Amino acid sequence: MRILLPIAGISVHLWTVVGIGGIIGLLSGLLGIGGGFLLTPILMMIGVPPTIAAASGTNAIVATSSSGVAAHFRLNNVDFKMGAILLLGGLAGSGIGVHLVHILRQLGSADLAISLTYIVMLGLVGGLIIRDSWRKLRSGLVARPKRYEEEKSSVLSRLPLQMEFPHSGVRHSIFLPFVLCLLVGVLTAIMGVAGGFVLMPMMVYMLRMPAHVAVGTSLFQALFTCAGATVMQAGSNHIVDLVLALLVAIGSTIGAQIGARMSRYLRGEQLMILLGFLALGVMFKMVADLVVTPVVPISQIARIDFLKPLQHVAAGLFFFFGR
Amino acid sequence: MEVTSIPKCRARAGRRERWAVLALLMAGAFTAGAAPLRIAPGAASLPPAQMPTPRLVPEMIAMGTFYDGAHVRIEGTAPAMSGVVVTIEGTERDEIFDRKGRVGPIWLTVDKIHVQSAPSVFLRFSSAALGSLLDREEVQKYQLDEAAIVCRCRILCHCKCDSMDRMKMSGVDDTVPDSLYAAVLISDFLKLKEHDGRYEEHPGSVHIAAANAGTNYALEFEWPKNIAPGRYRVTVYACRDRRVVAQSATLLHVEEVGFPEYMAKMASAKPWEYGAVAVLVSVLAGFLTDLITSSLRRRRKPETKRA
Repeated sequence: MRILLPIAGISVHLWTVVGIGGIIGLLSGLLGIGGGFLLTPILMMIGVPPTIAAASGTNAIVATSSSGVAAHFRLNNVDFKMGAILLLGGLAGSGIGVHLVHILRQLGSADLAISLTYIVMLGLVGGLIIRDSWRKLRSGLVARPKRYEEEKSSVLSRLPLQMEFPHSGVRHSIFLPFVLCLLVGVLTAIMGVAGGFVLMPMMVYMLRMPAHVAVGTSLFQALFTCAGATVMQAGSNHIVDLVLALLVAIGSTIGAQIGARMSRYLRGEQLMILLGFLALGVMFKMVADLVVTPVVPISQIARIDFLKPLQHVAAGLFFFFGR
Repeated sequence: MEVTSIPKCRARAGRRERWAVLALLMAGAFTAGAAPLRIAPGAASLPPAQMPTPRLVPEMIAMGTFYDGAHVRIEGTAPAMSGVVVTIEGTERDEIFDRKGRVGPIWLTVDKIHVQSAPSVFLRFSSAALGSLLDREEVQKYQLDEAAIVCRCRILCHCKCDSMDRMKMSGVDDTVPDSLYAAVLISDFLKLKEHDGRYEEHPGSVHIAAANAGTNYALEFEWPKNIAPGRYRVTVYACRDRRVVAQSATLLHVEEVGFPEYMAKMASAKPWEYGAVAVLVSVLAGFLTDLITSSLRRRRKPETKRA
């Protein structure tokens, strides 16, 4: 059965789009990543114009994330306090990143630098996650976050504005998650993807959050980021196709539920290994894009000002913290 | 780099070679002056006669919620002993593209291309191969193939904007490429349009039959599902002695109706409200799915306990 997408103005197979959503949702619920990096190119493959695919994908991720957040909230896997700080840091970082991209493009050869940075980073993150989690699995150690007492000796514990995050079982200075997420925000703005790949390992390895709580909190952050981006894209560019987003959302919300349930039967290390393999898969895809001769050397620009509207929020944050 | 790639293209594929050569000719034409070369149809000393307006069935393609393409029939009468060419063209628009190029062993985005006044769609149907119906000059004059269509477009390089909106706002002037580079860009542009199914040529698809008043022609085809709503110009050319002897044109309307029309109007008339509704509906859809699955799970649990 085919259905017309009102904004894209094209007819697509209903079950194909729902199926695509299902796969994205499964990954989202299981691993805490938004899935935008996969969704946009797949929608483009079925004929959706690039900008509409990107903006409507963002809208679909709102549904996926909200379904995932609800499921993880029920499982007590969402640290709202940490999520709010990560959200603020990410927004500020996005604003800085957009300016940085502008400067890099003016300098020239920015694309090569961005592509290589992305490949090296995905390779490193994926490789290290797999190695570390595999070792833990083989030695039979259960991932356990350090408690407050263990953290006391750390240099980081001497930073100002220490705060307890009982849900995650950690204690950090408010600046640590904020600055880390600010860096992730800068990276996501440069690379043009939402950044679940970077955010998830960062929460587990640097903020020492349990993997399951990291998944729920990452989805909480993605929900707000994507909701803001959807309103901005619909308001300023008129490129959000709600029918497309809802079709993807039908599949992805169900997929997210299945993913969240599946995550209960997997150990934290197993989840991280899956994430690592996914990161390596994306890295190989990027390498192939760079090396393999394209069928047609020109393509319509798929980039949308995903993070540009967030600059206003970032400017507000700078004003707030600068005072 | 772009200059040396033309001979390579020729060596690789005959199809690409054809485009490169044609595009080179076109590029030479429009880079000769500051303005793109525009050849007005019917500007010759002997203008073609008007023939009866073609009949379209349906006259309007209605795109409802479950739109699954449409079967279109175009028919009419042409002067006696003539071949027929039918073209369907979408409105002209500006587009921006990324262009990849080889830098050492890897492919990178090396340029941003701005194509002005390119028809969004160009479909051509004919009763025989175009070369057997018309001289090349006539094809050029009436813009009856893709290479000729590009003649009226303007291709610019080193575009500095990511989106058309920003380009219009900033009024950035792009660079006019040299003739060799322009030829490569035109060739790439046509290949992309062919790949997307927006530029197509179907020789031998128009059926003709001799009749008392002239030649009856009929064309039936499936309207592509990936073509957006709009007004499409249908032009019929009658060809005899390798020149166009008569022509006629009409409009084919492709419009959204019902729910898709309502959504499209809302998205353009009240964009911020539409965005807020989109988020709200998505959040509700997410929570609703969670509610349904969790209630289903709760129902199953007591059953398993009893068992």
